[in-house]
Amino acid sequence: MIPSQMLKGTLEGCILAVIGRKETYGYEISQQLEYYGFGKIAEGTIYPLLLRLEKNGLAEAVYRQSEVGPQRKYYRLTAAGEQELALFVRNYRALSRAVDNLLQETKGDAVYEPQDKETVAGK
Amino acid sequence: MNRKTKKLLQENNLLEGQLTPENNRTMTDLIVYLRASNTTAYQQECVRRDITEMVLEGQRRGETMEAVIGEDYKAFCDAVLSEVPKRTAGQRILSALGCGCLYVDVLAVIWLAFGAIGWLLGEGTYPWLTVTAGNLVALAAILAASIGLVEYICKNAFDENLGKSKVIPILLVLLVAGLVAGSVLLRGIVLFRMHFLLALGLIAALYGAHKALEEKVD
Repeated sequence: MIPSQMLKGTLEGCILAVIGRKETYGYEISQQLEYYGFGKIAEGTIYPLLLRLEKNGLAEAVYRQSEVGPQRKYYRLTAAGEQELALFVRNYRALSRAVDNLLQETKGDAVYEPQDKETVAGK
Repeated sequence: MNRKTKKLLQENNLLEGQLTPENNRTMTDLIVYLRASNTTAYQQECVRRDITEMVLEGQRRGETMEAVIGEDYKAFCDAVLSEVPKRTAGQRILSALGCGCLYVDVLAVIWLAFGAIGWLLGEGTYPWLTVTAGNLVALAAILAASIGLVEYICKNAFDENLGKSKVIPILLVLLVAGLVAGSVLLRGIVLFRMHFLLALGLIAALYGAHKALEEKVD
């Protein structure tokens, strides 16, 4: 399970990526995220982000009758949304590269190695 | 509330009828909380439709409302409200005026009815109605207490200890004090008299103003 604090900055971009693949709705987005390893994310977490995307003109919504049950709100990317997704991909790749580089360089560094009791005690 | 909003409200009421009693109760808390927000009634109904459909779908899958929305309903509502456009200053003023006209109108009808009962009991001088300082104090007390009460209940819709809150009894005491002051202590201070036809006209005008303002704002 990815900590929610860590997800915060990227979830919106990831939702853009899911919507970017095809027109979709809240529950399907939640399932897609779970499929990709994000863990169970409630629709209640996704809905405010979808509202934000809509408010910022990055996604547009349309109501469609579902085969079963009530109608669903489907989301699709706007042109601005596609640009934002491309920007997110660039930024995320840069961040991912930077974090990867850092972790590779520091791997095995004594600072990050678990220290034994004697070292901690300064003996 | 204009026609577009009323139509959506009626659709949402029908939709909510499909919720289980437990989900319906939680949904009511959620909607009550949204009502206190600084968003238009139309925006509130749009959000209400989305959430109800979300919960209905979850219900169909056999999921609880908590599984669909998350554990913290208040945090969910706050997250949603932060993404919904706020009312402009103009919309807030028009909405407050519209509500004010309706509240005063309802109280004016009651005042007129009491005046008519007074004539039947041989009090007052037909066709004149008396407006006393007490009437105005009672009006202010009823408006302040009822608006305060509704605001407080809406903003604390998710508070399980709402029933134990001291604010509600304080507001009720203020209301009673205002009514007692109005109907007993200040009853004798006559401000002016009004012909009942003029009173009827004012009541109709207030209602007309309320309807017109209601159409202007979402």
